[in-house]
This record gives sequence, C-alpha cells and structure tokens, in this order.
Amino acid sequence: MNQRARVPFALVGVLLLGASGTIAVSVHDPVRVEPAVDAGMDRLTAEVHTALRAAVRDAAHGAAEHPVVVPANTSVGRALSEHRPFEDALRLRIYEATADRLERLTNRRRGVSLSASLPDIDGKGSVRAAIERVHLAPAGPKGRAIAVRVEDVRLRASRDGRLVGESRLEPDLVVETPILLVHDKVTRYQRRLNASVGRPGLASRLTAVLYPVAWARGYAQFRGQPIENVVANRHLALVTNGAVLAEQRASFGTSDPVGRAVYGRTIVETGMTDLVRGTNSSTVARLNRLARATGLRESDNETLARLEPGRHSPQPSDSTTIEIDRTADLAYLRAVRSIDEPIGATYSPAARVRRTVRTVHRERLAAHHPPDLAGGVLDSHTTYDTTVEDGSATPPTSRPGWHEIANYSRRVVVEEHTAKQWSMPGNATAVTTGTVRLEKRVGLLISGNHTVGPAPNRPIPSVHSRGGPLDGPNLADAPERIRERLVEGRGGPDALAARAAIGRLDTDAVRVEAAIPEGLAGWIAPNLSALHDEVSRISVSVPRGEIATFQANVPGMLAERLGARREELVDPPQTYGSVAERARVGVRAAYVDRVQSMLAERAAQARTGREGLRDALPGEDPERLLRDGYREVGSPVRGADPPGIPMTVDASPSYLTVKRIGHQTVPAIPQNGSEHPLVVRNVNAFSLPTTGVVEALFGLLSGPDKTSLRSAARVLEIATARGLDTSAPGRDVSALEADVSTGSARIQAGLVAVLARNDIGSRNGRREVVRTAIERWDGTGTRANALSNGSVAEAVYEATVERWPDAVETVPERKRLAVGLEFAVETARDDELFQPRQSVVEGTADTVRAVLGTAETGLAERVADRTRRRAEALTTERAAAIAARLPGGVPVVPAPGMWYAMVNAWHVQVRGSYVRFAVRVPNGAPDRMPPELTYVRESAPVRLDVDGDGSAERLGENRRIDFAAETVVAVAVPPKPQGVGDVTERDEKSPGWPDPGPAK
Amino acid sequence: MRAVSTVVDVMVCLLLVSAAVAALAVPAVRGPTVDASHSADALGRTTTNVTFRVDAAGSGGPIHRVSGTHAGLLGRAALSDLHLDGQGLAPGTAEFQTAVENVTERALAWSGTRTSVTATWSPYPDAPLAGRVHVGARPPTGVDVATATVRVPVPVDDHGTELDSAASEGYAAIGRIVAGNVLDVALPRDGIRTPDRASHSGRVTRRRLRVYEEALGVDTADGDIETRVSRVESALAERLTADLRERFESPPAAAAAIRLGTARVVVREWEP
Repeated sequence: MNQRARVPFALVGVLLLGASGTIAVSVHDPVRVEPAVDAGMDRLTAEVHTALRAAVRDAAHGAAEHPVVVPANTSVGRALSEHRPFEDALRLRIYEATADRLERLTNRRRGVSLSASLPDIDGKGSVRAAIERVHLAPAGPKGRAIAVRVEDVRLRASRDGRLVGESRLEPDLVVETPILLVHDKVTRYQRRLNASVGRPGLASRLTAVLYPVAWARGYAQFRGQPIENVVANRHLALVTNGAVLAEQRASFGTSDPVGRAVYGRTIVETGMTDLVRGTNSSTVARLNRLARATGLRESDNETLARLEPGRHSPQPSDSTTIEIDRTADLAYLRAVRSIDEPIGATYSPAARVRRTVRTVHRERLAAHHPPDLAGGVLDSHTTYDTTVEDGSATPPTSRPGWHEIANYSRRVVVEEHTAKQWSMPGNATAVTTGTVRLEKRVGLLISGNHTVGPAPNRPIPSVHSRGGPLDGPNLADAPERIRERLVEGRGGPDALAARAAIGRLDTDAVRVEAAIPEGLAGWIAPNLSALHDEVSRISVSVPRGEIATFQANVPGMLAERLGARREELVDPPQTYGSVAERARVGVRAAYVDRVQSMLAERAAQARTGREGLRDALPGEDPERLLRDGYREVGSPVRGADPPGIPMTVDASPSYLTVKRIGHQTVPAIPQNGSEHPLVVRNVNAFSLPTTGVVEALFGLLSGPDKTSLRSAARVLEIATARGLDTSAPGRDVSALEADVSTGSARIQAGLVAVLARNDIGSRNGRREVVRTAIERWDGTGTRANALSNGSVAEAVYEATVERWPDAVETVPERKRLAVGLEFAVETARDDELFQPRQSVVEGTADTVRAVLGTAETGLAERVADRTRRRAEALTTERAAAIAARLPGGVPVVPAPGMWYAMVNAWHVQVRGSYVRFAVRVPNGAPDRMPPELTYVRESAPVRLDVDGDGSAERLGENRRIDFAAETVVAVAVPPKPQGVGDVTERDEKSPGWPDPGPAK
Repeated sequence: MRAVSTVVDVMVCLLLVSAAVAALAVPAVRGPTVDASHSADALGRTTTNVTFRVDAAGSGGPIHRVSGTHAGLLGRAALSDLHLDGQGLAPGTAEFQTAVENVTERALAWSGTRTSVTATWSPYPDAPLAGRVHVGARPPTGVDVATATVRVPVPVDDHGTELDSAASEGYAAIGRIVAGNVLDVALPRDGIRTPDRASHSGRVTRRRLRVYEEALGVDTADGDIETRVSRVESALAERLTADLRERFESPPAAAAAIRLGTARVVVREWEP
C-alpha cells in the first residue's frame, strides 16, 4: 500500500452536504420584495368592485322605498338638483353606502395593511361633490339595470405605518336594478292621471267611458224611465276607478289586483241595479251573466271598463237627420203673406233716359264789361233760353240688359244769359250781363230693363206681347207706360232734349209698374207650396254627439246645403215663356233666399248657445273640455309604453271610494286618521225644472221674474198629480194656477186670431172650435201643457178642417192654416206679458223637489220595516218617473222653427289621492325578503345619515300620488219638451270635496 | 485496521452524500404545491349572473335575474339559506342556491387543481343561526390543502357603533341587534315592503314567516305582518342571547366577534 496522504471520502461527503444545504436554503427562502403589495392591491380592487355592487343594490332599495320627490330646504337637501332630486338622492345614497362598505374592507396581508376609501362628507359643498363623483345611467335591455361609475376611490397599502403603495380607482359597473325605470313609470303614471282631456290619460279615458253611460241613461230618462240624475257621483266614482285601473295597465302593464276585484264586484252590484237600469236589456243580461260567473277574468274587466251599454243604445256617433222643416214652414207662411212683393218687382221694369250732347256752334252775343273799379264777382246767375228743333244726332246705344224703347234726335239752340254782380268801392255793387249762344245736337235714348225682380236673368222673347198662362199682358204695355212716364210725363222729347242740352236731365232709372195679370198670385201659390215641401225636406245628417257638443252648427250646415241646391230649387227655364213665369220663378227665388237668411240667423244663434254653456258650467274653459273630450269618444286612449319587465301595482287604497275610510279599512292610513281617497263633483249645465236658466241664457225671457209656460205647466201638473201640501206661504199652488191660466188664455186667443185671419167661420164658431179642442185635456196644468206644446193647435186644425172643409179646400190653404196655428202658439208662448212669474213657479217647484228628495232618503232610513220599505220604493220609483219628465236641457237654437235637439252637458271633476302607492318589481335574491324592488310613493320625509355621525339628515320629501281630472260630456236627445237633465241636484259634490286625502 | 477505516470512511461519505441529496431534494416537496388565492381572486373578480324562481309552495312566480361576482353571489346564497339549530328557515330558495353553485362549479372547472368553495354567513363563529353553501368535493384526508378566504358584503347591516354601545349593556342588547338586523332583510317588517297576500311574493313572504314562527316556537296567531315579525324578532333575540352568554366570556368579547355585513367565502385547493 502506498503511504500517500488520503483525503477521506467523508470529507467529500461533508463538502457535498454543506453545498447542498446552501443551495437548498437559497432556493427555498427567497428574499421577499414588494410584489406582496401588488397582489394585495389586486385583491383589494376586486373587493372594491364587490362592495360597490352591494352598495348600489342597497342604495337602490333605499331610494325606491323612500324616493325624494321634493328636495328639503336643508343643507343636504339644497345639494340635490331641483329637477332630478330622485336621481341625485340615489347618487348620494350610492356614495354613502359605498363609503361605508369600503371602510369595512380594511385588512392586512403578510404585514401589509390595505385600505380603500372615498373622500369624507363634512360640509354642504362636499355633499354636492360627493353626488358628482357618482355617475348614473340607465343600462341593460328594457332599462332594467343601471350603469354606475364612482370616481376617486383611493387604495392605500402600508407596512408598519409606512406608505408603500397608493392608487386611485374609478370602478365602473352595471347593476341589475330597475330603479330608474320604475321611477320613470310612476312619474309618467302620475302625469297621465293629471293630463288634461285630449291628451292620453285619465281625463280622456273618463270621457270616453262617460259618454256612452250618459247617453244610455239620458235616453232612458228621455223615454220616461225613472232616472233622476243622468250623471251621478256614484257612477263617476265607479268609472273613475275603471279608468284609473286602465291607466295602471297602460303604465305598468298590470293593475292592482285587489282594485280590479273590488271594481268587478262593485260594477256588478252598482252597475246592474242602478247604472244601466232601464237602459238596455242586453246590458243587464250581460251583467247578470257576469254576476253568476264565479271569478272575473281580466278580459271581462276590460270590457266592463268601457261600460259599453250595448249596440242598440244610442251612441254619440249615431247620425240624426235634421230637415229644414219648420224654418221652411215659417218662411212659407211669411212668403205667402207677402207674395205680392216679388210679383210686383217682376212687373216693374226699370226705365231710364240716356243722352248724347255735342256742341256744334258757339257764339258770344254780349260780353261782360266790368266797371274799372270793380273788385271780385259777388254773385252770378245764368238763365237759358232754348229752342228745340228736329235735327240729326247720334243717340246713345243701349247698355247690355237694357233695350231701346224710343230714341230722339234734336237740334237745340241755347242762349245762355249770365248776370254778374261785382263789388264796388264804398259798399256799392255793379251788375253786368253777357250772352252766349250755343248750338247743340242732342240724342236721347229711352231704354227699359225687364230683368227685374228676384228671378234669375233669362230672355223673355214674348216680353212685349200679350200671352202667357193667364193670357196676361206680359209687359206688352210696358213700353207705352215707360214712354208715358219718362217722356210724356216729363214734357215730351223736346223738353227732355232741352234739359239734356243744359245738363239738367234726370238719367236715373225708375221703376215703372206694369199691369199685373188678374189671379197671378193664385196661379203661383200652388207652385210655391210644392217648393216649400221640397225645401222643408232638405236635410243634413249629423252625428248626435256633434250636436250635443255644439261642434256642428246645424242651421249653418242646412244653409250651406240649401245654397248648394239653390239653382235647382229655383229652377229657372232657359227662356221664360212669359213674364208671369218669370214672376213665378221670382217668387221661388225669393222664398229660397228667405229660408237662407233665416237659417243664417239661426246659425248665429247657435253660436250664442255655445257661449251660454260657458256661463252655465264652472271651470276655466268648459268649451275646450267639451271639444277636446268629444274627440276622445270612440277612439281608444293611447297607452303608455308598458315596461318590458313584470311589475305589480300595490295601491292603498286599491279601490278609490268616495266614502270616508280609516285605518281599519286601509292599514296604510294611520290609526285615528281618516281619508277621502276620491272626491268628485258633477255640475249639470241645464238642470231645471223651473229656474229659467235656459230661457235666461238664451234671452227668451224679457223680465227677470219670468219663466216659460212650458216649465210652469209641468210643475203645476206634478204638484196637482201628487196632491202637494200647499199651505206653506210662498208655495201657493193657486197663484201658480192663475198664472198658468193667463198664459193659456193668451195662446187660445192667438189660435182664434189665426182662424179669423184666414177668414174661416164666424166669430162664435171660431171660439167654439178652439174651446172644444181644449176640452180633450183635463186640468189647468195639463191643458196649459197641451197648449204650449202644440197639441191643442193640432186639434184645432183638425176640427177646423172637419167643420169648414170649403174654407180650407186647397193644399196651400190648409198648410197655411196649420203652420199659422203652430206659430201662433209659439208667438203667444213667448209673449212676456202673459208668461208665469218665476217666483210663483219656483215656490211650488221647491215643494216638488223636497217631496222627491224625501222619498229618496226615506228609503234608506227605514230599512227595518220591509213592507213599508217596499211601498216607499214604489213611491220613489213613481216620483222619479215623474221627475224624469221634468224638462231639462236646452234647445240648441232657441228660436221658433229650429228646434231639432235638446242638449245638456255635465262638467265632471274627479280628484284622488293614494295614501300609499307601491310598484313592486321582481329583483334581487331571496337573501332579502321579499326579493323585489319596492318603489313607494307616500307622504313622508326622507332622511339619510350623510356624514356618518349616527343621526340622519333630512334629504327631502316623498310625496303621494294624487290627481285631478276634469271633462265635460254632453247629450243630445230629440226635440221633445222633457229633454234630458238631472232632476234632483244640479251641483253634486261628494263628501270632502274639493280636497282628497286626509279628512279634516 | 486500514481496511476498517476505509470502510468507515466510505460509509460516512455515502451517508453525507445521501444527506446532501436529501437536503436538496426534500425541501422541494415540503410546502404545498398549490395556491388557493388565485382561485379566490378569480371568484372575487369575475362577474356572472343567475336566473331562478322563488318557489311559493309549488307555484313558480316570476323569473329573477341576479348578477354579481361569483364570490358575492356565493355570500348572498349563504345568507339566503339560513338555518337555526340546523332547521331550515328559507323554504323555496333552493333554486337560487343551486343556480349559484352551478355557475361557481362551471367557473372552477377550468382550474387544473381540485377546488372546493364554501360560503358561510353567521353572525359570529359557531352561531346557531347560520347559512352555508358549498361547491365541489371534500378534499381527501392526508393531502396538502391550500386555502384562501374572501369576505364579501351581504345586505345585512353592520351597525358597528350600535354594537359598541350594546356591548356595555349586556348580552341581550347584542342579541337584539343581531336579531333585528337579520330580520330587517330576512322578512319585511313594514307596510312599505310587505307585498299583498294575494301576490306571489306575498305568498313567499308569508310562508317564510310561518317557518320562522315554527322554528322559534312562536304562536302563529293572526295579526298583521308587523306584529308577527316583531314577535319572531324577540324570540330570535332571546335564542341568540342565550347562546352568546354560553359562548363568550363577556359582552364586549361577544360584540367583538360579531360580523353581520359580510359572508366568508373559503376556497380550498389540492393536487389530485
């Protein structure tokens, strides 16, 4: 073995171990550097996003449950924008919630402490700055999310109190919450509830529903059904709720389910027994079916919402045909009386003299020689000496339409002597004379024009020869008469020529009456009668609603129609066979023109009626409401844009009653409080019986204390029928009776006078006929009524025709009698001297009203006594049936001969207030119950702890949803005295009017 | 002798070499090979959305859609499934929890490691009132597991200042705050939030209220929602007060342990 020193293997092992240990240590224990801060910041950023998301969610719930509608006048409230306080409050809530959540994120990681924060809020300026750091925008499909960006989020990392990292963040995210959408929908809903009629919303919807109801009930009343008030507040409450539910559907895609159910029940109960009572059998049957049905489906409610009273009921859109009728009669009566006027005009051709004058020679015989000292001419006087001889001249030619009757040519020598007076010194005068001799040639033309009178211009070849239907003279003698009048009557041709020469010829046209054939008027009369028939049947077709709302001026339309047919009606031939024919056509033309001008007059009166409405109804502009409202009839109200996500409406109360309600009924009302959720008022424009509003409005009454016989007779009739107690002072039926008798006597006298004017019968015979005719009716009131509504006039006509058939043999004669009698009634009726005194009528009318009213309230009070109640009910029915016949409404044109409709209007106002109105939208997870966003509107202050001091600052106010809507509906019924209108209360107000909400 | 020393030397050398090899090799397998914090960050950062219905004893109701980060949704799912002493308090909410679990599972499927996530909400550790959701398999015993915890906000109010003052008043005051804050979100307590009984959410709400009443042994007498919820609130407060008294040494200690506004999301990862 060698002795070399050996390195033991163990040493190598030791070295290897040492090295490996070093490597292991250096591999597994790296030097820690700042990457921990980066990682920490990364994690923190993620956490900030999550915290912000949670903060937005919480803020949205807070803002929805306590929305700021009006900012408060506090330092925080003033930081909110006046126009968008809701959005600003939401932004502030997001800021506050985010700041709060960031505070809790603070944590430590591997010796690095991390924190996130937003700048503190400590003063007013910083509140606004905080709001502005939050950016908000609707996002997502259908607006069901919001995009939020928050500026100025600060991240800090520190180790052992030493800042090792800092950054700023502007997190930007989209959170699923429909907060902006639902706020927008509720705001729009409120706007629609308050929209004026004509715009989509409650008022328009209400109008569209009320029209058919008012028409159905109005016509039922008109036909004598026991309906006291055509539009009553209880119906208004019902239809308002229907319209409000429909508005909810339009805005939110759904309506309050409880409200819907209550509405359905109410409509079945109220509607069936009352609303459509007696209006239409098919409606009642339908409602009956509904009542039997177990549950009300939504579609049924929709149908009910329109309260369609059935196809057979009168609709505003139904046309009615109005003929010229009585206006034509009246014009006929007058035309017959004055038939000689157009005939005379036709037989009075115009005639005139025309001349040409030419001076051929002029010679001064003696000139003026004024004295030397003469001043100015003080006076001058000229005299003429004329000498006329035949001579040649060129007479003028006749003008178009005129024709020559004679012409003359003359030579006229004129000596013109002029004397002048001069002023001289010393207050003296001097006179000089001068003479001029003139030779003139004068042509004269006598021309005539027979195209006179109302007839249209057509040639009459036979004008100057005898002939024609009556073998009359035509105008054969006219040239002779013209010559007589214009030439001989004025001194002959020479005198005319002399006057022409000195410029003193009268060239004006004159009318020369020609001979009118015997019996011409009698020959024309039947022809006029036929024309009258034709004219009176001219008609226009107008939707009744347009009449009711004064949109259509029927007389104006008739005038227009008549004007369009004038040529055809006057019917002139190409050439007149005779002047008599021309006279006939003239009479026709005059008649048509007379009708036309009467219609024009009525058209102006119809416009006055429209203005009268303004005085009869409250409110700023009932005319506009009426006009805009009528446009809504039959056209569906435009819906809002329904939200694309499901929403639930939860209103308190669900159904707006006109009754006062408290906490027991609606829990949202505070204990011990009470509310009027809905107050309504409806004013009937022309509600009678006897106030004389109508007559006063249209100026039919001359004195303030006068009313119409028609109204007085009605009141008397009812008072007598019901045997009223009339002992009370001022309610004296006998005084009323006396007044009514006076009025009746005046009409009787008028009727007798018509017979006399037509030369019928003897004095006693005429009286007897009238007396007998009246005896068909019994009782002063009933007789007066028959007299004033024309029934007696008809009876008199029939009796006359029967008794003296010879006196009224021809059709025109009979017609003249009939029309005369009718108008005698109208004239007598409007004779103020004989109209009943209003004060007298009013006294009895009050009694009638009181009785009707008692009968109604008595029913409610005596529920216990069944038999009695039944009896009372019958009485009420009867009372109402009588009341329904009381005159209501006004004629559109209050003039004789133009009574084509009775109209009435109701001004309807509804105001409502929700104690609480909530809209719920499914949103969020079931960690928060219920999993929905609840947007609430109620009267409450809104507070938020903005500065984190533990006490909440006032941001503003949440406000209730309340509304006010008004409209006017009008009804037109055929022209019968009873008309249409409310009987008991003209101005009906529900309890609590005019303020909905908390009861005082 | 020499032969002996050589043998010894070689033996020592081999021993030292193997020690050196060990020194290099062993540390490489010593720490966990996975880090759960990446998954935790991902869950906290990526957003998703879930759709579900809230069941009201058989009827589905409208479809809800909720979006948020996975972690946030897990926290809300935990809060939405509260149990009291193991008895479920939130009927009809399973669809939401399942939906959240499913989206979380899909999100984790991309990770190369095995991951499980548990989200819990309870007012304090080991409280009788708690909610929990879990995604993924349980880690097998004996493997190294990495964990990371994220706290996510939930809609319950924290009221830190109020808790501080309650700490001085005693356990009952703390119990009342916890019960009140939990019920603020778990049930509607005023007319504003209470849906109509006929509506779907009204049925869901009333069903949940009945379950609370049963779990707490409260008389299910009639009365309006407000009265009923306040009865439940006192019962819950009593139950929690009793537990706090048992579990903590002093009211301040109890108050310090309370976390209401956040849920814990724990991510676990391990090598397959």
